[in-house]
Amino acid sequence: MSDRLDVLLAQARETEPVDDGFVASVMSDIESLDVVTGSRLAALRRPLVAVTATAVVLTGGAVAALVGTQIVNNDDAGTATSEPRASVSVSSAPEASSGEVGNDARQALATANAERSSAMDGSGHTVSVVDPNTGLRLQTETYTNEFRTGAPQRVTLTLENTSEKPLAITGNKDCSLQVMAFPMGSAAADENQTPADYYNQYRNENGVEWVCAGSGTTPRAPTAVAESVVLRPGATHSSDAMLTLPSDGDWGVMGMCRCEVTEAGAPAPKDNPFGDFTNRVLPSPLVTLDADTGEATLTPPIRVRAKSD
Amino acid sequence: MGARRVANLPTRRFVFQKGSRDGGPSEVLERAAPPRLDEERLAPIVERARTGNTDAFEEIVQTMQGPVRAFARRMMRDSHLGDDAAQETFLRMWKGLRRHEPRGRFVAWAFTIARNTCIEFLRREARTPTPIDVTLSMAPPLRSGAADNIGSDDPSDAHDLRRIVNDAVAALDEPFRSTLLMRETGLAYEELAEALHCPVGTVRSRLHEARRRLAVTLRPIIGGEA
Repeated sequence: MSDRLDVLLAQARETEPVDDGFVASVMSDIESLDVVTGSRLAALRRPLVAVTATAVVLTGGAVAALVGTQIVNNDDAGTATSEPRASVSVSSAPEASSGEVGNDARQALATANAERSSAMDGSGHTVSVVDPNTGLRLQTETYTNEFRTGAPQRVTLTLENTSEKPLAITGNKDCSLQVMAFPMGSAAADENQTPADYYNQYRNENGVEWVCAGSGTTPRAPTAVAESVVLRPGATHSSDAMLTLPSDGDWGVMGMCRCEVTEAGAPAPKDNPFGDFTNRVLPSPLVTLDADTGEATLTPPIRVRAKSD
Repeated sequence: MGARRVANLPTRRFVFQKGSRDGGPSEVLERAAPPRLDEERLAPIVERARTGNTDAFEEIVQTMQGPVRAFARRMMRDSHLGDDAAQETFLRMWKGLRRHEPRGRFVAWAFTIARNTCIEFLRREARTPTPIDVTLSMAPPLRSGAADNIGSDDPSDAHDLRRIVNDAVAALDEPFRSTLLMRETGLAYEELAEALHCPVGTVRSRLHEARRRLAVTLRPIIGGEA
């Protein structure tokens, strides 16, 4: 009987699984872990030539040259906002590829539409979107729906890594986070308009207010300096924009991250001179804008009313 | 001291006789033994990995992924969850490598982590092994004569038997299940003792008890007295 049990046990034994994909996956986790512990920060500081080329690859030429790297902690002081946030985590599905949107993304899009509607009727001053592919969350906070015409008003944009892996966000230095405001008049919110529609409709118009968060400069004259921010899981990174609305009336205020998102620390193939960044570029499913503008993550607009004293 | 074999279970090649219970002349199926983990071959690699050398650790992962994943898959009874647990095992190994006592057996230490990870994952997944009596009653009956063809190279027979045996193993209580599966993975008694933090005698008694329980469960297939 014992021999027959041995035979049975041997027969139940399956071939040991061995594949390089598993090893690569483990090593990717370890690389990410090293990024979190800070022991591999040097990996993000590439030689100038490689960085320039990487920036070109990532942004289609929009940014190039130097890269500054910043690791953001969970308890980053820069994330503080004085008011409790009433944000709803909403996800926006990839409008440009709706044919491939899954059920979760469709649900998220429906939720995003609901939130946009809420923000656009002036009842809320915080909106956010979560990129379902990368887990990057972008929140726009105007703190109020009443702006004073001609006076700068603070708008805070916050990136949060809701994924379980460190994310590297690369964009123009001091201008990867941007705020756009466009005159809405008294038009009702259009449920069929996506953030990208608003963006494409207004970005070339003279009446639009468009500022970089952090530097206050205009995104229309982008700097030639790239910046990378690495967000640990759960970490946030905030930047303020001082937005001045020039005339009375209703405005739509939307935040955007003109950035590329990569999984930080993913092991690069040995023959890849660009290292981590180009190895695991995650496609942004939120919106794909014009070819010359690259990609951006956009929050739905918040309707605010500007009034003179 | 010569190179010590870590895994001494699969030193023989199992030869299965197909056709009759008493092994009459028939086709022969040979099952290759799993590759062994050689502690002495691993030692210098482990030392390099302990200094933070990721290339060395990658070599460890490549060497050990087979047994660790096989163990985790059978513990979890799911290949995907098993691979998840194995991946977490290697991650924990990397985190704890610097604290690993060099005098201890690396393989035993690795399997301690693997076992603890699997048990933690099972708790998290609230995956309770299906009782064997339910499994057997739900399973399609073996075709006539299949039970007499242990070692058959017929894929259907082999699949049925593998499923039933794995169900029976999964139904074992801890620590009998993990002890048996580690032994099945190829660990020596000494490694088992170190991995399970118990004397070798306890390992032997646990294995004996695990096999006794399996024999009772599988009596309809293997016959004989429990």
